[in-house]
Amino acid sequence: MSDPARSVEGANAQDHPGPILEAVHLRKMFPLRSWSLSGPKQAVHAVEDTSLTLYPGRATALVGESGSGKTTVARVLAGLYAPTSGAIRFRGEPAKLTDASYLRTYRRHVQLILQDPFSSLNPVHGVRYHLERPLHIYKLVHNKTQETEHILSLLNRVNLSPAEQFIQKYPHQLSGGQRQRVSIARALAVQPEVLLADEPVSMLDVSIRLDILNLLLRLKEEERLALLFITHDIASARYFAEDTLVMYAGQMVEGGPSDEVIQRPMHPYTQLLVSAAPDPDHLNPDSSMGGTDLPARGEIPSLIRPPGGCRFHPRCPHAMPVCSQRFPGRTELGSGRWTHCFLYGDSEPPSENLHSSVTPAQTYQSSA
Amino acid sequence: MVTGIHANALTNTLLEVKNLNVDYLASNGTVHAVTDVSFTLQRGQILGLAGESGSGKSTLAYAITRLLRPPAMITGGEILYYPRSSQGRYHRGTTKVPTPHHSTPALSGLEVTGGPQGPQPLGASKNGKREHINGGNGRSEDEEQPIDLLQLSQAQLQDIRWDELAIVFQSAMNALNPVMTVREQIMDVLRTHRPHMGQDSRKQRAIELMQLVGIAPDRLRSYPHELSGGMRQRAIIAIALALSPEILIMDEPTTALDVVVQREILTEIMRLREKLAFSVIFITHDLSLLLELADNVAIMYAGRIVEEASRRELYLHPRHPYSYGLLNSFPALHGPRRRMSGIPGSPPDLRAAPPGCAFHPRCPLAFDTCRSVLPSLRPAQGDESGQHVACHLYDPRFSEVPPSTSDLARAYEALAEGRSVQ
Repeated sequence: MSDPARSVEGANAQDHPGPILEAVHLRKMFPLRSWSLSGPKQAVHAVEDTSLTLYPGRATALVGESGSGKTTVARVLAGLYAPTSGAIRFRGEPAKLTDASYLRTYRRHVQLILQDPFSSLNPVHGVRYHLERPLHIYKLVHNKTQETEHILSLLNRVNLSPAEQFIQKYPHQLSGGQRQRVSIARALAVQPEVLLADEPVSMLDVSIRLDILNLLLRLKEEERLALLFITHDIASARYFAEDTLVMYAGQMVEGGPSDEVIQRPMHPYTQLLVSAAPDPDHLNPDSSMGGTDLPARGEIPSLIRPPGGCRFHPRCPHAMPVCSQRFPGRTELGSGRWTHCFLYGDSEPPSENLHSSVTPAQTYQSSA
Repeated sequence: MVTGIHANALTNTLLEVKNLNVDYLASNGTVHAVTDVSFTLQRGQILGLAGESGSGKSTLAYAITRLLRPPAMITGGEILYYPRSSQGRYHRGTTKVPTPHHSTPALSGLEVTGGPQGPQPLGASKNGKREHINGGNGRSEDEEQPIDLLQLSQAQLQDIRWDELAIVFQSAMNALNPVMTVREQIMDVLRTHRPHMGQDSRKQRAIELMQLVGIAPDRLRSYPHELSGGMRQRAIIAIALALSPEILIMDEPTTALDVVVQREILTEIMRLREKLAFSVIFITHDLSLLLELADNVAIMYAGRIVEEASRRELYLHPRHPYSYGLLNSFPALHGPRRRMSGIPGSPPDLRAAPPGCAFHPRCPLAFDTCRSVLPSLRPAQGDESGQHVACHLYDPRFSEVPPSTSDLARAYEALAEGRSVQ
């Protein structure tokens, strides 16, 4: 139903699925309050040199542990944080996010869905209020009848039926899944082209999660939304998204088609993530889960003084001296895959012996 | 009903829950959080309890440990604990002297117990100390003398808890005391439960425990906020293991953790179980995790166990439509990418659970009987493997041919298509 609106605004999106939203070498630092005037200025290096591209009708998953900077990326893209450096390009043009009126239009097209449906809805307001606010702010409706009609159709689009009943309800009368549907409806109200979904299902019950994911998938297909799906669950990234990007401690380490990345992870961190994910296929009458080999113990480092070079090197079983000196350049691996890892080469001339005969790809694979 | 898998292995039984009922008394109706739940835990076994939030799995864990507080009430059933034979791993007779107050019956009126008398009637355990129960009436019978945890007084519970039965809670941050160092918290347990242990041996034990769970002993001086999430969870496990319990109940121990840390903790639990031979009741909503970890899995829905099977059977052929739906709510890491449907609807309000099978409003295969007759847990038809299911589809009285796994798959697919057509 939002198609007419979109065909005016994003005329070429249907025919040429060019990128709708791009992040180019995005960096974000959060300065820390420093108590000594002479001391060095400290900052949390939340996101380093991140580039990603979203296409209409395509979902991109951003996978990483907590503290990897994935939520920061979403917030920068949503215009909630200004990037420290780097640029955001919207419909091929640089987004002028410092310009208030541009930001207003931008936010209309780029909507964020938050993780926690229990805190993202205002408990003193009903469903109707949550959905009518964006309609009023962007002057999408002109009278009460139109408004009600619009809200009812939004509720139907997110499978909240009978919509006539849901429109009067308050958040406390709704289950977690229903609340998340309301927040999706709120994001859809302004007919966005990009949805940034920050862990949209992680707070929901398991049996509800697929329902919400399928709803988002349907919206992606029917309305050609570009979706950024942020998750820590690599299996749902594979289910949901065409492309998967893996972040570690603020750095992008690997990306490419989801199936490729998850079935044949190249970067040691991706291998670690995949091998750590619960997998009933490990099921084997003779082996309990002892088969999984986890050489990389430890957790994400502090981002105030992150390790130099590749931030994964203190945990990486393949770490080389060069890994702590500088961050590896992007290596294209073919068929849209790339990684930042010296094991697979480097855009800059590598030292030596990097293309050694042993491929690390199988290191973390279960020995069972 | 005692499930058949375990009936013939009674000597190996560690914990037996029979027809347990727990209600929450609320002003707007009684919530039947756990209804008629029976299961058996074997020595050294990991039993997984899976279900959505509100399925009663945590209430069940709290009931077993007798940690429930009003408005929760245990309204029926038995929880039989089979203590280890007379050798007594703990030599507690030497560390604890029975004192008269141990024989005082329950002090508060909140001790609600019910149901039929257990094999070990209250009278026999009135002497209070477990040593009395164990040592008092003939050693030859010791192994077969279960204790009904629901009949114990607070003082008796104090002896069982932590010594025999420890619990690891979900939120590591909330389970540790923020103003005490880890060492103080471990020593606190030892001081309470091992009053005769010297200060030095307590310190020594604290160091041992930290090493056991893979934390450097110098972190003993840390406060909880100085530890990462994974380390906190390890510290909690160390505290739970302080007195070498027989049963470790873990209530979503890894839910708040990242996958990599979660994997480390699980590996740690498996390693410790090998080493210390305790049994685990592992509660989680993440069925894919249980299928890797647990020996047996019980699926709960709306306060009842709807299916119980070994992890292999459950993975290969889930019988209950709910188990199938739950299993198919987790996208797979391998295999072809296919559209999955999940389970439509949401769990019922337990104040007014639907009549018959509580799952029928969401079930793609529900028929008339499901709406009126409550299914009981019975062996899945034609299945000798010990898989039990509470579903009329497997009851020859109601259904001639039980559905196969692919029938379940087709039913869910049809349901999903029906919905998208709407």
